[in-house]
Formats: sequence, structure tokens, C-alpha cells
Amino acid sequence: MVDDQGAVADVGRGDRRAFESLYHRYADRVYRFAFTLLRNRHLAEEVVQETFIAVWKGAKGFEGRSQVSSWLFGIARNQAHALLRREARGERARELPAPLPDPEEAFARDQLASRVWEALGRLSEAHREVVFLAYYEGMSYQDIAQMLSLPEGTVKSRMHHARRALAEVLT
Amino acid sequence: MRQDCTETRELLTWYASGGLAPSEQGTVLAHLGACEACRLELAEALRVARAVRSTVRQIPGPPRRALAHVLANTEGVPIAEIEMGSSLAGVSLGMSAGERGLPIRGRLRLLGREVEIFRVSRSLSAAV
Ligand SMILES: [Zn+2]
Repeated sequence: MVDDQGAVADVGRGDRRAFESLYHRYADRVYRFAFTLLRNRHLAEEVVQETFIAVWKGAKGFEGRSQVSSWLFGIARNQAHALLRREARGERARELPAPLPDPEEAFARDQLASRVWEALGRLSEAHREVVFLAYYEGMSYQDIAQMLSLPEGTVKSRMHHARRALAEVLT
Repeated sequence: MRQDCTETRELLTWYASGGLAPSEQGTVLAHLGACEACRLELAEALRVARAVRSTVRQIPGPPRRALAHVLANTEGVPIAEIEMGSSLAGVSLGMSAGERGLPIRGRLRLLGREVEIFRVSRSLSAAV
């Protein structure tokens, strides 16, 4: 199996199979990232779509200086912010068809998860993205700082604040 | 609280999330061996890390249609990005590319409205 860097290089050469394989490797992670940030399944779906369309267009320019995952989440983050700006201006790119079961329903059967989800909702989007990248992606504060173009101290303090808030709902 | 407790606690969160560099892990572990209070703090940090991971894992992936949308919007070579006031140009563009049998994609700006033109392959149409 080709590694991520190789897959992106193949995508840059127009390899459709590599593109689909990259999608299957990352779509769930990007969706979870977007859903954690935006807490809206339609927007999260659009972020996934726009992210991979951007990946197809931009793969040629990927220089391999960062990890593929950081590159992808960086694109997803930009797409999420762009979507929010469009939403705020009242412009929606397109309406999505038939609603799907809400991912939040999944938490209804798990008390701990619904408490965590609620607590995440009380944090700012800026805190949620650090929480996701640290806890779910296991990224270091150095890598997160680089990806978000923030000082390491800011990343650490956001994470510290988030951890305190989350710990409260676990006791 | 001792100075090295303060430093350790800052790193504990990252130790628990799995994002700490090996060199920093050593510092944390050395301190934990000698400090009961920080060991308790680690237990809490680990509980939070586990709870967040298990919550996020319960978010499903995107619906299948997302991939179909991505494929339809990336297939083929973008051949045109033109702006004009007549829809006739759009028709002839679509036809000429269709005759060559190539999957094409174009973007037309017609009377200020953006219209995507693309032809999806048979395999994709079946998947939608
Ligand atoms: Zn200590």
C-alpha cells in the first residue's frame, strides 16, 4: 500500500484510484473534524466535499514539508471557515438533499458522550479544533501551533482550558 | 506547588493525548515517579482524553453521496472558465467535448449565475 505522501503525489499526477483511496483513508476523519468544529451535519458534509475537491486541485502543489494529515486538516479548516462566512452572508452554495440521521443521536444512548459533546459545545470553535487535533489526531502542540499559525503557548493554554472544562463534566 | 509540578502539569495534558515528544515524555515520567499529586493529575488527564476520543469516534463518517459529489466535481480536465451572456455558448461547449467522449468539466458564468458543466462517467452514474 502506498503511503500518504505517495498517494498525494499520485493524485497530483491525476490518478483517480489514488484519489479515491485517499478519500477513503481520510473522509471520516475530516468529517469528524468538521462536525466537531461546526456541529452541523450539512456543513460538515460540505466541508468534506470542498476539502477533497481542493485536494484534487492542489495535490500537485503539495511539497511534503508537512504531514499529509496536517495539510488535509488545514484545507478542511479553511473550507469550514469559508462556509461559515458564506452562511453568515446568507449565501448557501447549494441545498443538500434529504436529511440524514443526526450524528448527535448517536450520543443519546451514551450519557458520557452526550455530556462531553455538550461541554465541547460550550467551548469556542478555536478551543474545539485544538481539542480535536490533540485528542483525536494525537498531534503534538508543536505541530498544531504550526498548522494553525499560532504561538505554542496559545495552543497549550487553549488545551489547558479545554481540559479543565471537560474534566468538570466527567466528575 | 513546586516549580517542576507546574511544568509537568502543562505537559501532562499532552502526555495523555499522545502528542508528547519522547524527550519531553522522559521529563514527565521522571517527575511522576516522585510526585503523587501529579500522578493524580495524570489520571484525570487520561480520563478526559479517553472520553473525548470515544465521543468523537461515535460521529459517523460522511454519507456515501459525498464521494459521488466529489468525483463528479473533479472528473476530467477543467476546460473552460469563461464569462458570457449567452447560454448558446454553453450548449456548444458541452456538445463538442461530448463528441470526443472525454469526461469534461467547465464553469460558465451566464448572466451572472455560475453554472457547472460536467459529464459524469457511466460507472459514477450507477453509483449515485
Ligand atoms: Zn508534581
